[in-house]
Amino acid sequence: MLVAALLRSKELSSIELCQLCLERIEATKELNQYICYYPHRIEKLAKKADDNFKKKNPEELSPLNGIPVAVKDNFCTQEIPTSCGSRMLHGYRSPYTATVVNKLLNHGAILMGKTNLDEFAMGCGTVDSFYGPTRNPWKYKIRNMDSKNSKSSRNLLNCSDNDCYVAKTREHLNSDDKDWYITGGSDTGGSTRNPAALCGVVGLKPTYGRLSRYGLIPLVNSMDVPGIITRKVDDAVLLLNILSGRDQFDSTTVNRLYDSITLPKHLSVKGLHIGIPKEYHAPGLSEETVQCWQRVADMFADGGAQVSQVSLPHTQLSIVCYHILNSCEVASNMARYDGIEYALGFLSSHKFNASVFFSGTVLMEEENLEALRNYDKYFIQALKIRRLIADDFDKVFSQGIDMLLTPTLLGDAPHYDWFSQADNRTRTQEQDVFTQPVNMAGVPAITMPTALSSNHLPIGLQLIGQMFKENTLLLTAKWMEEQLQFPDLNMKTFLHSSEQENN
Amino acid sequence: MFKSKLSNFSPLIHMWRNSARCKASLVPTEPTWQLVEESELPPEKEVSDSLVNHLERLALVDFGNQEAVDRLGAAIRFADQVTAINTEGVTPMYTVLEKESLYLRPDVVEKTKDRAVVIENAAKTEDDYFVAPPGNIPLKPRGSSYKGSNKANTEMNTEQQS
Repeated sequence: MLVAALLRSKELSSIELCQLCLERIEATKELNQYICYYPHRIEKLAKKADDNFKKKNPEELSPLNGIPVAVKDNFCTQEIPTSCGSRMLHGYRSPYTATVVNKLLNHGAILMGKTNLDEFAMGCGTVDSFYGPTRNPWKYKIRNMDSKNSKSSRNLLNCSDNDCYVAKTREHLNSDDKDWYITGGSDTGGSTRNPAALCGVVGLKPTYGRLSRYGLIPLVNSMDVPGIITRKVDDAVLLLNILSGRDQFDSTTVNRLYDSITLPKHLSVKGLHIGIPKEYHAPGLSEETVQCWQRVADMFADGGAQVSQVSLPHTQLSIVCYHILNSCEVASNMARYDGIEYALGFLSSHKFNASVFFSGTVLMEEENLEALRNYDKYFIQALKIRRLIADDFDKVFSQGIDMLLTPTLLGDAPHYDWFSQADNRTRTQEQDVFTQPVNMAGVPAITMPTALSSNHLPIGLQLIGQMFKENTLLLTAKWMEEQLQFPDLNMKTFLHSSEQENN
Repeated sequence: MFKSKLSNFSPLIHMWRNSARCKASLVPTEPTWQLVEESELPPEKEVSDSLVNHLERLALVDFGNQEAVDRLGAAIRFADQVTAINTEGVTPMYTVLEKESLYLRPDVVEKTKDRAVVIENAAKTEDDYFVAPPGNIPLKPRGSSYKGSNKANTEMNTEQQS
């Protein structure tokens, strides 16, 4: 991480770095990436990080010391309100901080703020937030430019996460060509990989049970995983090493010790066996994404990997099962928002997306409405098909495949006007086709920015690995990164072109 | 001489080798999904007024309009696809971690959070108790169906006494 090197060598202080980040947050406020941020608090933490640099041996300090980070606003934080993008939790002050956030803070990271998301993370476009939709910086022109903020000598990057087809603005740190950023998200059916792909960055969903969900407001308990969004694979490795581990407060974390992942300097995919699952050419997949997929498959073959077509026969059913299990668990999880123990509850909800809640209630109905209860007909049936989907992955991996290469999404970022013509449930049904089978099986996956579409928007491809084998996954991802050399969004250019358009 | 002849061929061999490794055909050029015919699905069930009332009473959230009711119908119809699948002999998968053992901590009493911290977020408390809205207030039955309505209605049907 190059910014960390600048901080250690004291070419840059954490206060300066955070100040630049804040200026950029202000300049790009229209993108609506943050729900809240507190400059005074940030200044205090940055001072503490700078003191650490002065008083302690650099080797004793974490690479994250003094680095700005952001987390999705469904992670509980004691000192900052947690809203989950909903009026129901507006102003809610959690009495505890999520484990993964605590780990970041204990390593000296500076929490810039909480980022926007669909209400309770139910959606795939950040269009249903109480705080308004988030916009994709790749195509957006800021209307109200404050010229003072756009003239920073450096670009700062701090990617904010969340379900968004336009997601995330990024404050970008650029000293010469160096840049860096980091963000914590959550992934239930693709909510880390989806926005990462649409914004041209790296999105990692670790194995279910590897990272603690304590403090992550649950959507689907059996699928939720804290996700990692970074600019470079190296940063994702750093974060995975820091955040992995059993947590006594989360009984779904697995009791195992993880070796710290270190990627070799010279990367090779020789000897790896990559699978191309044929069922991942789903209806609606854009021609440009197919071409990317073909090109990268060839790239792996040219790099010495063995590439084979494989089959995951129950893939088509996965989105239906996801829809059923998602609705059912959501119906159960939403029951706690009664406004009695905390927050405002349903009664004060602003335009709450109740359809997911209602469908879950129906699909779990135990009353004997007919000969076969809905509970058996839908919920138990979906759990059986979930086993078939997980077995598909097991069979393919046991045949010698190391990982699968698939598209992440159907195409590049769709337009808001088109997206908002249907409800979020319908869009999730369309957009999450390639990402949610991964959550159904609990395996890890990473999306890598691959190319720009003819609309000049990013297209991502996904690598799906075996459970707890993130080392192989990340090695392959880094090799892809080196081969593809995907162009970063230059924030200087972004702000300059917005300024020109305003003038 | 033989070697030099081979060296003239080597660029061609290199090209041939590259094309033989070309795996573009491994990526299907067309969608591979099978369309599910309506005839394969069970008959579509209408979302009845009684179901709407039942759900509103359970959730204390109202649908608001017919569009929301239709969305529920579409969600159930989408789920109907699983009913046609033969899962004989397959057991439900409740967790992807079924091969892992649950860690149990020692059975030792630990200090828990202060009561004050636990109840500090409640809107209303009394003597360290949470106060629930008055119970046993029946939800006023909806007088009419949503059918034919389009405007969003966010009025609550629940009566509450302050």
